[in-house]
Amino acid sequence: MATSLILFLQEAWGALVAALLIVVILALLAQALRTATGIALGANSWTQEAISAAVGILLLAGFALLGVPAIVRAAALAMPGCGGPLDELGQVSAQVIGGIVAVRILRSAFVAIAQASLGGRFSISNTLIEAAEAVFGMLLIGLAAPLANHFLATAC
Amino acid sequence: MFKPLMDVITQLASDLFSFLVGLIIIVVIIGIVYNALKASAFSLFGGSQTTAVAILGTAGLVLLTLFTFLIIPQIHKLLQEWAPKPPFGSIPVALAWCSLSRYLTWVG
Repeated sequence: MATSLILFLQEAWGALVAALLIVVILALLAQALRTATGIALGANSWTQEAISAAVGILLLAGFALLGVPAIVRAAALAMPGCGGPLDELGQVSAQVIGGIVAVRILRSAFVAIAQASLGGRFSISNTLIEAAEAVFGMLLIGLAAPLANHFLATAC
Repeated sequence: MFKPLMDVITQLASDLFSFLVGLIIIVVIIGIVYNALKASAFSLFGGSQTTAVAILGTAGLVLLTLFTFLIIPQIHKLLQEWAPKPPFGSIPVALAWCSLSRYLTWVG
């Protein structure tokens, strides 16, 4: 069950990364079209907006592709220790929780890039807030296994 | 599980990419023709500043087209190299933590 769940999350991760690459390239092309239109019409502010949006999209893509895996690995390594009768359960739950957190953070980064490519208001802060929420939730859930271990050890 | 969906999305994205490339070419050609007309018209009437702006606009359009069609594929290659594998599942994180804890206990 846990293996199939992890495989599903891995497939979801791969699909999200592929969709993110597609959206980034199309957004860059759309901003290039906007820049060309601005230059042709002599609209300076339009050109400036398009160039800054393209730079913002590239920065967001860099954060999503390089920053998110590093955050997830760091959070997974910060999971509390295990041992005792719930050792195997702790390992499996850590992997599943890490997968859910990774997909969630990547989804929020994807939404930020999609908003930026549509020309709407975009900010990386929402992505970071979601990442912090997910990591905090992961740590809270990770406390459950040691507590249960302690309870079982004292009860038996 | 996501493969059929990704196939559809890839096909749509490919069509959209071709459409956007065609649109950029059309806009750039129209922009160059418009700027050439503007430059010739204002040079006829002695408007040197507008003529200079129109010539610079034409050069900018050509440079932007070159930049778009040469740099965007390189950016795509770079992003593909950056594409991360799933940072979970393959590494037995809890196991690594246990080993580290045991090692630290042993060292302590």
